[in-house]
Amino acid sequence: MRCLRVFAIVALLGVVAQSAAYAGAEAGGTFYENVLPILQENCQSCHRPAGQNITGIVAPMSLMTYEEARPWARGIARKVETREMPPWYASDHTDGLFSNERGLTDAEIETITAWVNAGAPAGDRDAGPAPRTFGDEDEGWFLGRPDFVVEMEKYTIPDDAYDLQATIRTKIDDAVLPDGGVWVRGWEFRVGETGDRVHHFCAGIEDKDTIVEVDAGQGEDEGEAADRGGSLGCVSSGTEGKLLPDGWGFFIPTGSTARYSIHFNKEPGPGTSFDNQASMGFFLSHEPPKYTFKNDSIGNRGFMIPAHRKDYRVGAGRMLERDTYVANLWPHAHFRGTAARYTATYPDGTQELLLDVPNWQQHWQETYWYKEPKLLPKGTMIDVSFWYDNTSENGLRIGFDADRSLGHAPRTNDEMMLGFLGYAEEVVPATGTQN
Amino acid sequence: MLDYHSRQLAVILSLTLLGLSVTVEAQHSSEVVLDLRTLTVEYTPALRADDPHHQMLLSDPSEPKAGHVRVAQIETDASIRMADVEIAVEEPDAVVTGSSAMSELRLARYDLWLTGSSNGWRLDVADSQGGPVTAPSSIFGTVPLTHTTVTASSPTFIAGLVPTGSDQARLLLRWGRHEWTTEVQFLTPRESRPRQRDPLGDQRTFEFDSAEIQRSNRLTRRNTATVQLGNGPRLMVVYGRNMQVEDRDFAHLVSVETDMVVTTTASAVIRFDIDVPLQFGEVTLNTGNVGGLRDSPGGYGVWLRRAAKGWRLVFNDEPDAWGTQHDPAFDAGEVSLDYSQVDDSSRALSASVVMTTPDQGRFVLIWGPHEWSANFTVLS
Repeated sequence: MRCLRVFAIVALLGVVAQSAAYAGAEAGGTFYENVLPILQENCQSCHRPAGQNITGIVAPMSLMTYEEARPWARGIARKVETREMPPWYASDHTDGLFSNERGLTDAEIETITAWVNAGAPAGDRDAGPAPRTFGDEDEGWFLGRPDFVVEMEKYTIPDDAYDLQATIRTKIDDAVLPDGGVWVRGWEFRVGETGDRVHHFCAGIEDKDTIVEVDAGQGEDEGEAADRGGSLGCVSSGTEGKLLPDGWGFFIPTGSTARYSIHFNKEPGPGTSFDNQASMGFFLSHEPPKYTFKNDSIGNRGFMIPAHRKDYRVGAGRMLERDTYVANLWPHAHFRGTAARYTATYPDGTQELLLDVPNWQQHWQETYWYKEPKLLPKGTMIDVSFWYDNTSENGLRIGFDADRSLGHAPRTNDEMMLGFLGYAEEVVPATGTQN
Repeated sequence: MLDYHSRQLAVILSLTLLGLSVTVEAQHSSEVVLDLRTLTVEYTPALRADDPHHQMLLSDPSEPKAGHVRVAQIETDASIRMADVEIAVEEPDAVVTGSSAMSELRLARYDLWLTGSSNGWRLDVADSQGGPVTAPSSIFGTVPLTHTTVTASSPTFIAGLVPTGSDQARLLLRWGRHEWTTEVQFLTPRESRPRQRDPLGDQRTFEFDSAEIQRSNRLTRRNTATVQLGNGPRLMVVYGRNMQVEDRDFAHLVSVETDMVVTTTASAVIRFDIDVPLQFGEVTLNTGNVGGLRDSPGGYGVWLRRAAKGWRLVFNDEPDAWGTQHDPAFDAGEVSLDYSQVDDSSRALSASVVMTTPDQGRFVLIWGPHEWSANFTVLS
C-alpha cells in the first residue's frame, strides 16, 4: 500500500514536471523546431567545423547541432540581442541595398532569447529541418566547384614571426589559360587551414614581367597593388566569396602570375611555426562580358593620426572621370579604425550617403556588395572618411601603443585609410585587356 | 696625474665648451620637398646686421658696397639651376630592390656668399668650407640677386625658400632693411625607379620602425615646406602636389562664390604643423589642438575662403580631411589675406611659410597668377 502511494506521488510529479517542460517548450520554443532554422539561415555559413568555413578565416565554434550550440546558448542570446551577431555594421539607411547583408528580425531575436530563457531545450529532432550542407560535395568551395584552382606554394611562417607580410607569386599553368587568356566571372579565396592566424589575404593577377615602376621611396601595400591593376580584392574575417554581377568579367592573360599577399599575425615563440597554403578558385565566363571588373582604392597616405586622440577623421576622395558602375565597397583600416563613410556628390550638387559604418570593426572587414551595380555618373565626387580612436583605453582593449602618432604604413600596428571600390567603367571590346 | 676633482672639472669644462659650441653651431633652415626632391638652405642666426664687420656692406640700402660674407649653405638631392649656375646631382641607381629606397640619394652642398659690388648684389656659390672663413676658396658660379628695401628690419640674417610651382622655389634673403631674391629651379623630375620584384615573392617582418615608410608614403603624394629655427620650433606646411592650373580644381578657385571655401577634389586639405603658438592678426593659433602631434603639437587644416572683399585664410582642426571635406564645426579661426597677382599664370599650387624677422614670418599661398599671404608672429 505504501509502495503504491509512493509510486502515485512519483507518477504525479512526473506528469507535473513533463507538463511544465512542454509548457516551457511552448512558451520558449525548442532548438529543432524554432532555433535551428534561424541558425541555418543566418549563422552556420560561418559557424561550421574549422577548415570548411568561409575562406577558412572565421568562426571559432560550430553551431551545426544542438550538442554544439547548447553550451553557447547564453552567449548566443547576448550576441543577437546586442546585434553583434550576425555581424553587420552598416547603418540601417542602406538596409536592403547589399546582397550580403546579414541580420536577424526582431521576431527571430525574440525566438532565440525565449528559447534560452526557457532553458534551451532540444525538442523533437524530427520537428527540425534536415541538416544544412555547405558545398562539401564541392570540396568545401562556397560558390561551387571552380573551373580551375591556382594553389600557392606552401609557405612556412617561422617561430619568431609575429606580424609578417608575405607576397608569394605562383605562375598559373598555361593549360588553364588557353588562346591568349580567359575571362572569369568570379573567384573564391581560400586561405588554408591556418586562417585563424591570417589578418587579411589580398590577391591579384600580374603579367609575366615582374618589374614595376614605383615612385622613389614608395613601398607597396594592397591599395597600391590594386591601383596598379589586376587586383582581385582582399578577404579578411567576415568576407564571403562572390561572383561578379551578370555581364561582368575579369580577363586573365596566358602567362599570368597569381599574387598572394597575405598578412600573418600570431604570437611568436617556440612551436608556433606553421605552414600555410592558400588557393584561389576561378569560375569561367562562358560569354564575353560587357564590363571589365576593376578594383582599386580611394586612399589617403599622407595623414598623421595624433597620439591619444579620439574621433580623429582622415578623408580621401576621387572625382569619377567616366560613368561608373560600382559593384562593391570595402572600407579598410587597421586597429584604430572606428567608423567609415562613403558619400557621393553628384554633378548637380545633390549628395547621397552610399555607406555608413558607424561601428566599424577591424576584425570584421566587410565588403559590401550591391544587389545591383550602382551607377555613378561621370563627374560624381566620392568622398571617403574614416574615424580613428588612438586613445590608451582603445589601445588597452585592442593591443596597440597609443603614445605614438602614426601615418600610412603596412603593419597592423600602423594605420591605413583606404576606401576600396570594385567597379566597371565601360563596355569592353571582345578581346579583353586589363590595365 | 690629475686628481679626481681636477678630472671632474676638466670633464665639466669640456661638456660646457661642447654645449657652447653646439649652441653656436645650431643652424636655422628652410627646406622644400617638391616631387620628392629636397632643397635646403641653412643659415646661422648669429649674423647680426649691426655687427661692425657687416655694417659697411649693409650701410647703404640703395647702393651696395664692395665686400662679401658667407651667409648660408644650400643643399640639394636633385639637380638645380640658379640663374646661369647649374648644380648637378647624380640620380640614384636605376634599379633598386627592396621596399625602401630613400637612403640611396646623393647630395650636393655649397656655401652661399652674399657679395656687394659696383655691379649690384650677387650670390657667389662656392665650395663648402668648414669653420670660420673670410673668403670663398673656390667660386663655382655667380647668381645675380634682385634687391628691395623693406620697412621691417631684420636684426639678423634670414634665408627662406618659397615654392612657386611644381619645380621651382624663390630663395629669399633678409638682413637689416635689405631683401634679396632669386629663383631656384629643379632641372629634372625625380625619376620613378623601376624595382625588380622577386618572381617568387618576398616577405617582410614588421619588427622595425615604420617612420621612414610613413614619411615616404606622405612624400610620394605631397610637397612640404619647412622652417626649422635651430633646435627650437619647426613650422611645416604639407600640400598636394601637381595641382596644376589646367585642372578642374583651379577652375573652382576662379569661380568660387563669396563666403565659400575653395575645394580641391584631387588632394587633401593643406596641412600646417606648428611647434609653437602663432599669432595671425587677431587669431592665436595654439598648439595642443585636435590635430597636434607629439613632435609637432599643433596641426591645422588650412582653407582659402572667398570674402566679399578679398580672401581669408581659415584654420581648421581637421588637418587630414580631404580637400572637399571642409567642416565649419571644426574651424579654429580665420584671418584676412594680402592678395596680389603676378604675370606667371602657369604655377601649380604651393603653400609655405618663410621667416621675415627672427620672430615673424609669412604664410604664402601661390596658384597660377595669384599670391596670398598672411603675416604671423611666433609666440614663445
